[in-house]
Amino acid sequence: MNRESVRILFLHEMRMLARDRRTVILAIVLPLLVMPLMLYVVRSIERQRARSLKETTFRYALSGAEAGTVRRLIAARRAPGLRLEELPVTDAEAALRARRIHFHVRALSAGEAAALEEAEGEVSRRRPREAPAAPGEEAARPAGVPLVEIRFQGDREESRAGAAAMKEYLLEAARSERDRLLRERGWAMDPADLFRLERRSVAGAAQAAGSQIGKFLTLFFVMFLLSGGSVAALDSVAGEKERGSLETLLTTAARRSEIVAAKQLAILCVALAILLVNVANILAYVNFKLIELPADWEIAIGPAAPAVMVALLIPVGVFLSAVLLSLSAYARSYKEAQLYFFPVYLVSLVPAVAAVLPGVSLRSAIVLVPLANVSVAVREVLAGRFDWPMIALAAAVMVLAARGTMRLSTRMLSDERLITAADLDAAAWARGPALFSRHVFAWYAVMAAVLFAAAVNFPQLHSFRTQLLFNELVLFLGGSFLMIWKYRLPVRDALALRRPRAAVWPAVVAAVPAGHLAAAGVFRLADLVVPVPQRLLEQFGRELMPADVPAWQLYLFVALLPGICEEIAFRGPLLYGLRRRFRPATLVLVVGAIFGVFHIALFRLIPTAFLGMVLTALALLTGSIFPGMLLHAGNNAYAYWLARRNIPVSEWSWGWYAAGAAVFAACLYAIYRARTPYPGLHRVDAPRK
Amino acid sequence: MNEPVVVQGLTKYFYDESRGEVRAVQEVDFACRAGEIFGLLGANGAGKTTTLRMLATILAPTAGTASLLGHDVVREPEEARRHLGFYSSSTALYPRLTARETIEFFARINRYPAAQIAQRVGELIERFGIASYADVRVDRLSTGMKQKVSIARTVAHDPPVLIFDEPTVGLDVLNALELQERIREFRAQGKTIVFSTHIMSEAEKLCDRIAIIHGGRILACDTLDGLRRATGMRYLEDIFVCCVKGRE
Amino acid sequence: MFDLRDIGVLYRRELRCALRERTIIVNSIVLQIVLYPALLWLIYSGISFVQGQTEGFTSRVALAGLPEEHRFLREELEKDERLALTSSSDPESDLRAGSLDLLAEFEPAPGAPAEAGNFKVRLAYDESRDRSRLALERMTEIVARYRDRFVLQAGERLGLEARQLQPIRVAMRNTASGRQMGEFILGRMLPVFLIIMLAVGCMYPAIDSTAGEREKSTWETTMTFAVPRANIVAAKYLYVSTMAACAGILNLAAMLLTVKSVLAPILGEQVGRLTFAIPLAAVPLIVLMDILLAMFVAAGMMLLASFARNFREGQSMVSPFYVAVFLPVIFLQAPGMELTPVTAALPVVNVALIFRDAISGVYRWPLIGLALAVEAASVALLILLAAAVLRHEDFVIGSCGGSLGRFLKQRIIGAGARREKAA
Repeated sequence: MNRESVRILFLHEMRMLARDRRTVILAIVLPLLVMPLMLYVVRSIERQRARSLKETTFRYALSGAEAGTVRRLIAARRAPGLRLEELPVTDAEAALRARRIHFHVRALSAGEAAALEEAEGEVSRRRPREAPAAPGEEAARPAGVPLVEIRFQGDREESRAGAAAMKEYLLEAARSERDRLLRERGWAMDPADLFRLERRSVAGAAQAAGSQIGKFLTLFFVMFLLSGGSVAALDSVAGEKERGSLETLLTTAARRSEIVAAKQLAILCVALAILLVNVANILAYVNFKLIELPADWEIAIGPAAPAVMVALLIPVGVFLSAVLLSLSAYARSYKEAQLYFFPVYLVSLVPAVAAVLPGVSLRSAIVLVPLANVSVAVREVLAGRFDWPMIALAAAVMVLAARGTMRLSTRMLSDERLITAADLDAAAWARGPALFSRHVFAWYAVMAAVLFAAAVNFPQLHSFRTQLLFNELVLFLGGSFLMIWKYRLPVRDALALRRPRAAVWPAVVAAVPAGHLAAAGVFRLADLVVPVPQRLLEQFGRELMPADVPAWQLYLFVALLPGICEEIAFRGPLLYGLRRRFRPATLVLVVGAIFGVFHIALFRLIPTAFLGMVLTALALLTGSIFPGMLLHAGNNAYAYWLARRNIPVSEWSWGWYAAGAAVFAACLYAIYRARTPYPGLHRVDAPRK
Repeated sequence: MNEPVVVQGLTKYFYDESRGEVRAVQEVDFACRAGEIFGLLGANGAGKTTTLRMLATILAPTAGTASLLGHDVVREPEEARRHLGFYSSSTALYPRLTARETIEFFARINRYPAAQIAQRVGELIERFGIASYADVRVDRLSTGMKQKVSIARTVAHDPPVLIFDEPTVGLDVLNALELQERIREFRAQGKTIVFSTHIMSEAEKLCDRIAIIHGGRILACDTLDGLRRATGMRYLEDIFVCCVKGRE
Repeated sequence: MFDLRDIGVLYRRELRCALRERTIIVNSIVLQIVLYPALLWLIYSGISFVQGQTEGFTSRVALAGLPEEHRFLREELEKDERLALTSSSDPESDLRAGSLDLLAEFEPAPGAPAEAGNFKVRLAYDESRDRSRLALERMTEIVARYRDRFVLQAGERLGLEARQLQPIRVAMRNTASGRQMGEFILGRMLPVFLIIMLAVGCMYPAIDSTAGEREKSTWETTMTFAVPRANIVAAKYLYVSTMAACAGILNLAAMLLTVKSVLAPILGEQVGRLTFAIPLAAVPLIVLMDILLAMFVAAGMMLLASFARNFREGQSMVSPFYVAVFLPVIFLQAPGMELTPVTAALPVVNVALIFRDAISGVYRWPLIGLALAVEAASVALLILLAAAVLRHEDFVIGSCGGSLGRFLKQRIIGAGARREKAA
């Protein structure tokens, strides 16, 4: 790479950017004007809200058999700052609805409370694990204790706030009453001194503050870098393609890699400049108290931390600017580049959130996940914990990721189809099948949205059978045939209705149990990074195997139906529509990932995507949908059979998974040897250097 | 005058921040007959495009009058435009319409009788050989295909007057020749054609009469033979230079 | 002046082109529909993930010096599945290293009678680790429960009844119906999302129909139509308003369909009893306000974008207006913010407040009338401005170099200079 060329190109890029004053000014000035205004308004609103609640005298009505008890408790206790006023009313509920009172205190005798609770079916209440009973509420229910029900209007802020304040007030009053009685009986101890807790943190205030800041630092870095970098990136290649100046640039003596390096450097500079402006902004907000830091925070950063963070965050910057550049190179116009930017932005934020999640440690599989590893590493560094080997590994992974993405952008600038803005593929004129390849993603996006929205909004679909029938028959099968009809796709080709070679079948049968083991191993691996809540697993199991459905029906719904309908949907029109757009390996990943997404729950995404990829590879190797149907239905049936016999495959040792994977690989090899390739796949031209 | 196109004393001044008052067109007079190709020949910045834009009612004249089939371009601009087909390198097609939709749209918006639009569209598609891509979106067509569609949409409403403002800019030889042939066909149909160009050979081949325009003024206006006699030059290039230098 | 037939032809063309433009379809239609299901999936997955993480934590707690007489506390700690009692030779180091979450050291409470069995608990934890903070919370809660039980037992030994020691128990009861709560939540969320997404849905069509035409060189083509320019502008404006209004309505529908599910992971069991629905009687008013707001936003964006030479410039021109449109909705969260004569006179804010009231079935007709008049007047003003701008030829044939400032300077300052010169 010629440094002088890169320098010339870089200066050229910066000059073009500097002359587009309007865009750059808007990227900097607009946030500078808008953010403080928004923060000021939000703060004012919060203060106003707090002041208004503090100055409010809460009016309430008191009724019920034990009203006297409550009145006595209220009178005995003095709570400075809380203003209460009891109003005599004839119909408290009407007064509450008419806003004459903020809440209604109904003091029920023990008998009335018991009758009420029985009527509401609350004879026994099971408390969730994370929210045990608060004192005075429900933990112990001695007999004969009156119930004070504070009735409020949840859709009115003052009513809610008043009721909450009254609840605390009454609980404190009850405690005070209890303590008074104990003292009268000669109990020497003050209950407030009983089992007093003293808290001591081994981490200093600076460490604690650092840990909190570190959770969000990488996230904000990524957000600002992406939004700032997009100012330069989106126009950098996509805009040049539109204007026709990219071709001019590519005909100069500069190499593709030099052009990419210069553009990337320019994007990085702009992104860092905008990031610094925003950071300065935030520091100014903190200084002028528009953003208030917690009082117990202490900001103290040691000498090593900044250096380590720079070493971690610079590769992140390079990586993100390379991503933006690749996005711009892929798009045919500035508008198209903008279209792709939003999902890329969202997807990039997801790993950056890793540090926010409780308990994610750098010493885990997360160190191999770009962005997520830096996010966690930064948090650890700011908390004063330097796990040098893991930090070095995270930095190395990030550098590799950055390098890989830079290479991707260089390759993209060599791809002829991506260099020119025009698309003169004559086949694209024809309606029908050629048009389908452009629309196929949209169709499946709509199907996914319908799957989701229908499941959530139509109670009729909440039953196991109806939901499965709707998804499999109406959505997948119906959707597939709708696509075939609308685009006049050749049925045999679109559904890959071809006979594979005979030798494939035994391999597929053997692959059923082996593949299931391999998938279980993948699930266990995924669980290391994305732990599955036990509750969700149990719930999933109950949903898949409802007790009231006979076994033969479950085999039908869980195995046969998905095996046929989902294969038709995903290895049918979807695979057919994308076969020319991606290389075979990418096609396997894309179709597999889409298959995984359709199974909705995050914890199922990775294992089902794995299964999807295997099934897609099988279709590509055999040119037929039928082996995949057998494997899919067989896998599901096998899983169900194991579950019915309570054989916990997911708890077996790693050895079993490895063995399963080995047998599975052997089966795939056998299928490969007997392959009949899927027709019409994408052909790759050698990229120009 | 009964000619379809009549221009008298047409003048256009612009105000530019840096240059002050710019006299783009100064007292231009000409008239065009039916079944004639009238050429406006001049260098870049001579005032051709400004003149034609005034005729197309895009710009308003500072002084003078212009009329198309008796409709004054200032007082009756819509009527003037209804009788006009305007083709320029800066009048692009709508990329998201198909070729058929484009022609149909222009016929409809320019008040071609609604009942006859479908037939008209079919005829034009046939005549210009667009059938194989009639239902393809314009943004997918090659330059030559776009040119054909552009011409078709220009004549979609069968206007009696056609203006071609440097139409062969950017076209290859074959496409340029084809365009010239179309223009001749239009002339044979009795249409009045105003054709601007800075390419001498084009003007020589196509135009019945040529007006040489320079500095916003028409320096000469006659048939090619008339210009030759007046200047004593044979080639249009020499005639042009002679007129321009003579003025200077 | 306005020929409805011509406007119809032009309007249909604009719509047809728009519905074939991927960017417009995504921003004005698809985003409005799928944003909430996508949000739902993200939130659900995110919360499941976090719950999975937290659920899996067993707090590693080391005890030191727990008195034998309080063995019931030890039993309670051992029974609690969330805790794992462990031992440590160097608890401070283990805490710092993260292999221990909490150290609880029990000491006799100073100055208390020995027979009272009181103790003090020193809880050492690492504030910079989430697991350690969680362990602290769990331990605090268990000790608090033990304390209460201890007091109850002490009181019983002193001859007090349990009922005396716990004079009352308190329960909160939200008497607002599911519908009222749904209206409250919708009233907070809906106007904000509606206004923002309406502006998003409007932006692309507005820029595409103005700056986009200049960029594609179809601006001049359009100027040569045999129709008055006013009709062309009217058709474009109608088209942009249509797209904006549809974006608003689609967003509203999508929100109503999915809001329950979006909030389910946050509200938990309570969400089951909530009803998210807009009163049927409110629908016409909401649709009307949506249309007026769409017309206002469309007019403003088109006016600004028409100065741009290309799409990118158009976005830069329109961004400040976009921000100005959604900024006022922040004020909606202020306590006591409701439709008054003052707020009814503020464009955008008045629409948001009318939405909120309409969802709750509240109609302040005089103020609604005032708001409608203000919106209509704002729209008319912007259209007049647009008409004034379009009269200028230099704007019709070019865009003043994409500079609104230059246009204003030429038209106002430049006109002054020319008048002086003429004089």
